[in-house]
Amino acid sequence: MSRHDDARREGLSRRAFLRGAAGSGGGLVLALWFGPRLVARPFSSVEGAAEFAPNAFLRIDGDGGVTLLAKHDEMGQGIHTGLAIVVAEELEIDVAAIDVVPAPSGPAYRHSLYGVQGTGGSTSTWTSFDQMRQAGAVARTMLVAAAAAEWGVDAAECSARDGKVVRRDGSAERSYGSLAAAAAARPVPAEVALKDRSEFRRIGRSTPRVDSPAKVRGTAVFSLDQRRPGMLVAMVERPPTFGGSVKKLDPDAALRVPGVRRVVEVESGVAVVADGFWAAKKGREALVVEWNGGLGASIDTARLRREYTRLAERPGRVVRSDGDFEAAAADADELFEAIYEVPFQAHAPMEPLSCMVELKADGGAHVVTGSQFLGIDHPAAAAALGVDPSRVTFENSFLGGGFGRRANPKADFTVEAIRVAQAVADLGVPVKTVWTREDDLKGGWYRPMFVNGVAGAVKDGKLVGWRHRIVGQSIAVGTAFEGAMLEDGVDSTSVEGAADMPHGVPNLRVELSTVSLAVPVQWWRSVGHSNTAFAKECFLDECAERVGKDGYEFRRELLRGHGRLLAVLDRAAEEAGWTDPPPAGVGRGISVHESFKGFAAHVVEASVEDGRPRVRRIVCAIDCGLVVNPDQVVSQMQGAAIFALSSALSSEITFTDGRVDQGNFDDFPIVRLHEAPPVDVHIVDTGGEMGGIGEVGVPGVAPALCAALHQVTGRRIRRLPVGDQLRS
Amino acid sequence: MPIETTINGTAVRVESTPDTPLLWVLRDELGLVGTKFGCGRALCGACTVHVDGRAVRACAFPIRYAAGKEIRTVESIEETEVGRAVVEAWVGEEVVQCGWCQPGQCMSAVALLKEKPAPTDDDVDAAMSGNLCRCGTYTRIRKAIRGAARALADREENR
Repeated sequence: MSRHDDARREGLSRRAFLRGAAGSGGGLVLALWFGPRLVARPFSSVEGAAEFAPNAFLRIDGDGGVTLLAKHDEMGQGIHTGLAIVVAEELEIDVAAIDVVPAPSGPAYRHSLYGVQGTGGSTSTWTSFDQMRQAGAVARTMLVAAAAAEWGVDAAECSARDGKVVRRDGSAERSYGSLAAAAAARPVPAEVALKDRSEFRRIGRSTPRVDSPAKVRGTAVFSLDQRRPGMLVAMVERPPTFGGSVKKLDPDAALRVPGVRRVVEVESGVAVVADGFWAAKKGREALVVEWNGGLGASIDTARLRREYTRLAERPGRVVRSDGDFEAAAADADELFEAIYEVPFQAHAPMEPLSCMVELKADGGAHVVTGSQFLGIDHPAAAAALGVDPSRVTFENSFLGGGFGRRANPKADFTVEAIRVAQAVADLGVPVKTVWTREDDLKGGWYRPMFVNGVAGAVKDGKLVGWRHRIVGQSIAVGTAFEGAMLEDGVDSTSVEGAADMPHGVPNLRVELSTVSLAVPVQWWRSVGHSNTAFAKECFLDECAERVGKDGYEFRRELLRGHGRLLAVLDRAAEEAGWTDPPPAGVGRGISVHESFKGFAAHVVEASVEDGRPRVRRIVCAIDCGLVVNPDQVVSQMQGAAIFALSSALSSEITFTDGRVDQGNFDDFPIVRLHEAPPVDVHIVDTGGEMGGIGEVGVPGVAPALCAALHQVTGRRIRRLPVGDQLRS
Repeated sequence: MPIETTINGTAVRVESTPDTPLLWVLRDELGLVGTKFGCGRALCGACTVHVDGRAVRACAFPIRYAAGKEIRTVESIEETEVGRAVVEAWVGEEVVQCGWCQPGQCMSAVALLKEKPAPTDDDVDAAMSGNLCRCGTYTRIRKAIRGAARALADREENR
């Protein structure tokens, strides 16, 4: 247990309610002002001078406390623990002895690959692995050097172990804390020796998460939990259609709601600023606003589907062309086509978005939020304030789910919160802008809707031609990433998983038609793969059926030479008992897909009851290279399967007359416990490069599910979610 | 009219408007932010607390109904044996991912185990299907509940 757990416990034991005089004003009660510290622990401050700070990531205090400033954001994927394990391996200290806190915004914490501070693309572990080892090794080397100097011996005569430096002859030992001051005075070594992988004692072993106890007890602080004395809560009424704007506003009724302080117009809508969440919500409900419709006022899902499908029937921009698909098609024994569709999809993290802004006298601000993308939020906040970024400080929290939503390319929820704070700057208090679930689901920034036109050509019992046309919006156009993500007008994330298809089809063509639409879109766990893998793997099953082959065998043949894909495919098939027939009434489907440098295969078993799919079991095999924390890889794959099932079975965002049809978990249903199948995960290590984990478990679930449903019903599901399609 | 209620064993007087959901009294007025907000319509269970021992969604429970009641939040979960067993099982099974829903999950699990110390799978389904987890930790939640039930039964046996 870390020393901050003790502080937390102390805080809890001091918690006491006093019966007392009623508080004053605004419905505020009560008894006693509970400072947030008494009930919930904000991350410990990293501002104070530590005795020993060998680099931007580590702080070692004289009392022995070791703090790791995590450059990646903890949104459930276990990265705080993962980074701590890697550091601990080289620092030679117990993982549980490390207090992990989110790094502030700063150049030292830039993503090693992307160049901006952030967490996404399933890259945290493999891109920070060597850097974290280095950070731990530098600290260890300096601590050892300090002890050696003190004992007047060569450093080679000392070693580090369990938070201590010991003399090899056993004659002396010193704790890291007692060496901190002396170590700080030593030069930082330019080069340090890293352990050989065969010496790893912590990397590769299942290690308890460092954040579990606080999260279970409710003492972990998330963005929405952040409080400051005098803080007000704001809620923004946004236009009901994308691109809309305020035509006429009558704030009077809202202002009469007890606890409402202000009603102000901001870029994104109308903000109601109040003493707390409930007053803000009631105030917002009392607003009378007339809206201009804007560009998105006529968006309609049924019409979009028709238009996208029409585009999928026509050639798009060629992204890849092997051989000659047209010639192969003309020469084929059989040419067949299908349309595959996926809807707009919301991330719906369990913790709705929020961002607190405290304006400073110098024109800057302190911003407290839950972000996957401080590297974008920070400059965007500074730009909104019209100040140099050095005047803006950021404090990150635990993220109650992210799935991509908290890495907004335009820093939407951060900039909006700045605007709200600016509009009520004269009040001189921190303002936390909060989102409701309805705001979250109706607020845009979805995974784009896609339509895929896929065609296959068979000759002499072999798949000789494949054409995949993709129609949808680009998530990069109009963002700061347009330059980096677009090549020759093609957004690589629109075609990932299709353009890099490894299957040995001699005549292969991938085309893209990019649509422009007023719906704001962004990355959603597994990004383009969530669409392309569905179309690709489902259509492969259609091809297998045409050539009379089993889905597993058919894939094995097409993937000849792709060792890592074959390894996970074989493992999943074996663990699922592919060659044994499934129980009566149960169908079984299989898929295999590479994404984010990770390789995953899924077998899904499902039946149909009253026209509704019932998923019985999911077996998954994953190869992500060297594994840091096996149990968390399993956890991620289990969670990814359930996340993927929600979007495969039931959740979607649709539009009628420009308005989003869904608003909460009743009409945006996600998988509940009684619907959740067991997910068996098997880690495969083929000795390949380290790769991604968090998103890798998503793409293959929907196609394997649809193959299973086809086996029991004889029907192809070509549009997600499955919903009621099997009822009719 | 102030509303008198008991929260985690301590008498409290609340002056919020009577329609204010208990959730916002806990979070905004008392600073008890362990109880989470997820939907505002009793659809997700993130705000689950106990009112007179029963699992209740605090986001849809107007504070006026709390008058004279005994309310327990996650902040006092470890004050009972069942609560301690649930926390221990949750940590031991590594259930947590993002963690936002977990206090609510644990409060539902505690209410279930207090009523049914040896729940069947159907009991678990019925008690827990109102608690959503977007991270998809359900397999481990099920395991943790079984583990907590077993641990409590073992303790009972050794008494």
